[in-house]
Amino acid sequence: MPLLDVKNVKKVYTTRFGGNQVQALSDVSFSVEEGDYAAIMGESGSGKTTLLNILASLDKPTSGDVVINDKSIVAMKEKEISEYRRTNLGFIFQDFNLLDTFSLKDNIFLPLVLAKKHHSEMEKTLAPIAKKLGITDILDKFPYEVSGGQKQRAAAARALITKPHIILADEPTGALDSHATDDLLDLFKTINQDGQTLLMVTHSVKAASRAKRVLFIKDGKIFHQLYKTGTSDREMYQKISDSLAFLAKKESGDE
Amino acid sequence: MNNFFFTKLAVSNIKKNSPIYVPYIVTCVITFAMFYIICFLSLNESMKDIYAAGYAMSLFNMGRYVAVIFSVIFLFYTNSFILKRRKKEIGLFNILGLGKPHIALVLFIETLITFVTTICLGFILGSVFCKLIFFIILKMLHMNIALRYIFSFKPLLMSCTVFSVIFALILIFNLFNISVSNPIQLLKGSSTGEKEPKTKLISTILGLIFLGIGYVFSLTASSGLSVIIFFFPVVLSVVIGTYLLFTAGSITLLKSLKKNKNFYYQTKNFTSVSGLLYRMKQNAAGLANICILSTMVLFMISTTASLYIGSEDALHTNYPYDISIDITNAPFDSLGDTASIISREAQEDGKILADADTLHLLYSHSDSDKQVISAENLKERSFVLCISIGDYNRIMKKSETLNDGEVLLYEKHHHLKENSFMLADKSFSVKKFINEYPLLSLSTGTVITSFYVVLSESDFKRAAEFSVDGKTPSFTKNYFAGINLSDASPEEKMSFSRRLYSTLEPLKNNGAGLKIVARDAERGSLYEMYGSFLFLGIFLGALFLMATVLIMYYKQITEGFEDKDRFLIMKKVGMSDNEVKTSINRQVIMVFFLPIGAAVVHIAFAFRLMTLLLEALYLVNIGLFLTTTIITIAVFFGIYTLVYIRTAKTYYKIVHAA
Repeated sequence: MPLLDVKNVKKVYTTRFGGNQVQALSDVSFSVEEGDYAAIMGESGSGKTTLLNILASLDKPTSGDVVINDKSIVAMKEKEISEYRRTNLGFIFQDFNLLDTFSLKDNIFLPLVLAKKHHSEMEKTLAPIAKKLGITDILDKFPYEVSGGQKQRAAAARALITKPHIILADEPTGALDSHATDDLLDLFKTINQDGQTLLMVTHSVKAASRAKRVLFIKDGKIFHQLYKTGTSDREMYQKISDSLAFLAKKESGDE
Repeated sequence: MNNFFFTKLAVSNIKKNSPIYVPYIVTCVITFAMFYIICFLSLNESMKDIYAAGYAMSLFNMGRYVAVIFSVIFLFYTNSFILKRRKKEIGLFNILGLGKPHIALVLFIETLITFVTTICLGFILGSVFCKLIFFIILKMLHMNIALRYIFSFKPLLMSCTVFSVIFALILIFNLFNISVSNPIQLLKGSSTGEKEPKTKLISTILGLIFLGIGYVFSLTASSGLSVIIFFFPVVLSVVIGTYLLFTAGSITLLKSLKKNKNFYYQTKNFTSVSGLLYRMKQNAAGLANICILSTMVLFMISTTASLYIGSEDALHTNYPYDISIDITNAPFDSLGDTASIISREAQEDGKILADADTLHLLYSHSDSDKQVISAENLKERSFVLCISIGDYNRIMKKSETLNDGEVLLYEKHHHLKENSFMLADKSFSVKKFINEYPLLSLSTGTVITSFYVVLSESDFKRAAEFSVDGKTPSFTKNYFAGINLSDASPEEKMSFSRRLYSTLEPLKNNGAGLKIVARDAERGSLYEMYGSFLFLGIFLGALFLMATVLIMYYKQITEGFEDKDRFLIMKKVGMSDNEVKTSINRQVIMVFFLPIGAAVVHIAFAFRLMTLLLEALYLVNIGLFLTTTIITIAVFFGIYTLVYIRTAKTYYKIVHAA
């Protein structure tokens, strides 16, 4: 049974002053198995962010269902959701979303504090993660004191510390330079090899080429899927570029 | 691009920013209206005729100066909030191609619109309230004069001049601020990363010391004189202490809470402590301001209201008799028949004497070069009042006896540590400490340490002649007669006091001083004084309260915009709506009620000091003062809570808009 199952998800936004309806997702279905590393690609306005928000239970679909680990998150109540989000999902965002009033360490502890863990337990959980991510020395620094790459690693630590079933990453490399991007993608690969399921939404062909499979989303639908099995990063990069070019051509042909 | 375009832009700017601009305009209008009113009261020629004495006029004049200073500071303060919020918008205009001169023009038009609105609405509001306040003042000052409300140009002109200067200064300040920053800085506005504040242990300790000095003084002050002398240093010390504790003390406290891991790493404390740490860093000075403003409002209104409510009390304390006759520096033997003169006059005038008390007094202000009283532990300047045992027994209806060298002593603050002291050239021992003393209220207004002594007849006679330098007598002789008339109207009492004066006037030929006061003649000026005190107290209190409320409002709104992102992140990390709300609530309540809580503590400690001050103004009814203070605090708290509810709503709206 898949870890994450997205079934015929549809999302329609109604503008505030009356009937204008915008269809963000028309009919999306896919599933993610445990230990998977999937990337979702698409242009701006293709519905990527809407999809991620729904997966993150920050938004509800108009119709369809999202099942994580045998539980439908669509039917959950608000109170349950935040608890569920905390224990089952980890988030990594493009703009890091670290709180500037907390040190990196406190930022990482935030979900554990919300889960009412004892602080000695927090320290114990953090130590190996911080070591793996190479941020042990900067834990007492504040977000404004460290580089973008370091911030994103701290954010990754925050996502990992609850041992979530899935980590959802929204354009994780979007605000990083190429060197930091490589570091982060290596890191993602390592944690995936350790068994962590990853779902990443991205623009970047480079980031997507490192995933085990890539889903292409266009006009609110899954259009195409690529599996990496056996191909190198370089070849994958080429395949993704070709697919994107094909999608773009198709679009211009439509008009 | 013509001028019309800029006008349109300015108008749309004001409209777009209405959540922050409307309260600003309202503030300007109210400040202007209040300033106009105080100008009207102090500058209108027709008002001059209705004041019996000069108190009201000079108090209102003083109020006008306070209002000018206050308006400048306050309008600048609110303007800086708006400027901070609008920098981004101005930066965007700049980047979109509006040059700095154009932006200056837009800002000028905006200021002009605000100014004109302020003056028009402020004048209308001011005029409406002027009539009302004019009427209230006549009532408050107990003036039974037909209402003659006369408009005059002078107050309006004065208000317009002052406000045009203030607005011009604000415009110049804004323009300067914008001209020195580049568009990128403007765009970023205030969103630069804030460093975590450092623990300031020394400042915290200093703050505690300063506050301690103020508190200890007000708990130990023994006489009104020391209060008056040290009032400003003590207030200054408390103000400094408040600022230091708000800025440094709060951070030291929060930091130590943060160090306590078992406390800090708990869901309900985690976000609150770190959030408050930053809030205090940015707002500590503002909160200290609010605390001090609140303390001032509470202090002013409770004291002035007590004075006013206690006016009749004070009048009776100050003038225990319908008519008081004071003859100073006349030999006591020459006054033997004064009592019979008074009763003869009463008979001739057709008045019935209900009471007629007479008393021979000796008093002296003792100081270093004229030691009249000396004892161990007695360093302060002091005041001594002596009467004879005969007068004491007669008036108090007692039958005490005293041998020579013995005294009865009334002493309120217990400065005397031993039972003996030197008075004049002789040593006396205290036979008994007494709790009552004739006509004590006559000297309530004395603010220095006082000794009330009862001497034996022979000692009294000796003391009357005593002289330190061998030339002039050290004690001032005073003959006091107080009479009450039954069934006489205030006018009759006043006319009888004038009659007595002309009868007794020949005494002045021998160098004696004569003072005859009818209590009813003093009522008018007392009410005018206390009435205008109260009016000024309420007036400035209202002004300060408005300031407090608006500063708080702007603070919360500004923070709401900053907190919006923070709470969105917390939600994404797994905080429920409820937890977000609880966390917000904790912080907002802390920030809101910390200053007023501190203000109430200040008032509680200052209470003793305030009673001493009021005592000097003849108000001795502590119960009344306590009640008034509690009611004042309750009303203030009520208004403050209303503002809190209103502000919290707006704040949630902003934070939840995410």
